[in-house]
Amino acid sequence: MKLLDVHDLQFSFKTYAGEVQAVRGVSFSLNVGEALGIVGESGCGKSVTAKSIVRLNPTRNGIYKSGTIMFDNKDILSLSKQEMQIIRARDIRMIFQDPMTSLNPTMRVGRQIMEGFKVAYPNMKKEEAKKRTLDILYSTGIPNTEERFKQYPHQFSGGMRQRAMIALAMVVKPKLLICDEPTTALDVTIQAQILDLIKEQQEKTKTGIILITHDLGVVANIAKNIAVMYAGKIVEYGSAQDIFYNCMHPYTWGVLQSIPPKDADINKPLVPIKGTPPDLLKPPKGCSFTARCPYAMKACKEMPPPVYMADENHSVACWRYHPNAPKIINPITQREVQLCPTK
Amino acid sequence: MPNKIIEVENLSKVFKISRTKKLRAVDNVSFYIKKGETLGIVGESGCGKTTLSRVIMGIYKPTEGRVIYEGNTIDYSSKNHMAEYSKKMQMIFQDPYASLNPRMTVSEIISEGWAYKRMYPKKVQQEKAIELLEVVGLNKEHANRFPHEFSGGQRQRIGIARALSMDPEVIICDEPISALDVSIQAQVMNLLFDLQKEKNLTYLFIAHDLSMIRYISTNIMVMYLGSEMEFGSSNAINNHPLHPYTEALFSANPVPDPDIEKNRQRIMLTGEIPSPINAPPGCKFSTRCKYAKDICKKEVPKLREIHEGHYCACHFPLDY
Repeated sequence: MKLLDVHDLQFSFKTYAGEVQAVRGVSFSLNVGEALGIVGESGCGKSVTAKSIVRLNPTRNGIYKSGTIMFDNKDILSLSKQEMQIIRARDIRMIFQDPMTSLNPTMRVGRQIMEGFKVAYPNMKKEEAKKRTLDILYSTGIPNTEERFKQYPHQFSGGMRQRAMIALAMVVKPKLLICDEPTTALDVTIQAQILDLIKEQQEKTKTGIILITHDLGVVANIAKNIAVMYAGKIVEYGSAQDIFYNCMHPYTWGVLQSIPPKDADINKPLVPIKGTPPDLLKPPKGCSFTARCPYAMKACKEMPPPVYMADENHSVACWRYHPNAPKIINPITQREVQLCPTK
Repeated sequence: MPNKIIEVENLSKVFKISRTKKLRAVDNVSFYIKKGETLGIVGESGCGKTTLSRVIMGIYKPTEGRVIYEGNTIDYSSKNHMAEYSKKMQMIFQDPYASLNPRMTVSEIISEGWAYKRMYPKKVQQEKAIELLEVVGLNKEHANRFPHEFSGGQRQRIGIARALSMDPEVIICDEPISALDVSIQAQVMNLLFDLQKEKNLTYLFIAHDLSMIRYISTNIMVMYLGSEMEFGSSNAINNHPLHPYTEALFSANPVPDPDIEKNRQRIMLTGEIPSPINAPPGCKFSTRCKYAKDICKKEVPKLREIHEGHYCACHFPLDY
């Protein structure tokens, strides 16, 4: 059953220098209880995409140019402010990268979590809310819950704050949890704890998850499907297996080759992607990866590539999969890549 | 055999916080780096990595212990000596946005060291700065621009050019790639590799990205709460960690491979790092260690050589 369906989303920011086209036509969908990873470099539009789903993008200089977002058979972009607030309180929760700036520093942690109940269920009794808050704090692995309930965010460590954020998000058992780089500010040992916690909560409550990150290692364990974004577009979409073992877009190859190999063989040099991402003030006419792509052809510069289906669940946006284009060899597996013959 | 360029013996750095409280940021650390090699320092935040690098740099004076550079003990109280010494050592910083002065042009940034030491006339400085820009993969049109006109990767290249300007022998890299994107990280790392080979540079590399550290380092030192837990070759630490903390730290590192991630047994560290102001007695890791016994909570384990060139501070090191 589909929980979320994003179709051709385009979002731009108006600046003095011109219009920054942050998201340029993104489509994906998410089933109930599934986890989707969105991977990409900074400035590729992954956070803007996620914030569009809860309509948290700035409205003063930002505009939704086109697209629809269907959540639970509701059109998110046409809802009123009040309706949106209820959705944010009950159905879609978000966890941000920096837990220090997303918790209110002047409010005790317990009260902040209770406030979440109050917005979602206005009729709930105070004692009941407190009891459930203590329960949720305990289930996210925070010790001495009675004491922690009364403390302020600055008395929590980074990992604890992120646990409190997860508690705050999970109080209402949302249908969708959006995690925007939830572990980037944390140490590896704490990161492992937090990722396990998110996974555990997902399995327990059957919450759908969108996990945004730039670290491929983080999504490998949690996400069922992965969308690779580049310059405001999804360039490749597929299951975790497809992306890690059988990816098809030259950008995905580049990213996988630029991380150190597992066997840590220093004689195998890292293969970086040359150049830098394009300026989204003036995005290129054709494929946005052309300038850095070793496989670029003439057509790549002229027209944006169509999306080819490699498999039922695996799509790639690259001109090299046009039937008339010369075949290319996957530099990781050294095999010729082609689309599935049935499609 | 390359010679030891830096040797650190029982180094400690203590900060006074109040009249009674003291923070042992670096606690009795010993290690060495050989010329032309890379030492990787890993550990969670607050473990004293940066403080250690600053003591070696000469920014802080050590409280106890000594640093030996090419056979000579460094005299932290002599200004002349320090000026001579600090020329041989340069630093690359984590944040390429904060570490470049926004009011200076790129060529001014690179030649600031020369200007300070009155090394070359102005015209020569400009030419040399352009040469250095070409070494790090930028070109002469970039010389008169300001830092804000560059991307993160390019700024880090400017930082590297600035570090190279004094012809250093040792470069301390304090998380030089953690603020960059994956595809740019590989570019900067390859540049650092090429420079190392070409100029026979020695790197002291601090990072929290464990897969990168084990890829680049000759030796690795693992720190926890200011103490040295393990020191040994990259291979040994990777494949046969002796300290339970090293084992847990490396197993927490996520691997970009779903099959491995699903099947492997993680060694989870429960709880968080204790505060370094009242560090636990005995072994500092004993509060989170699953192998901890009574002795671990009472007696501080000494750093001892368990296999050749592989040191570990633990009462019960893991089996090889």
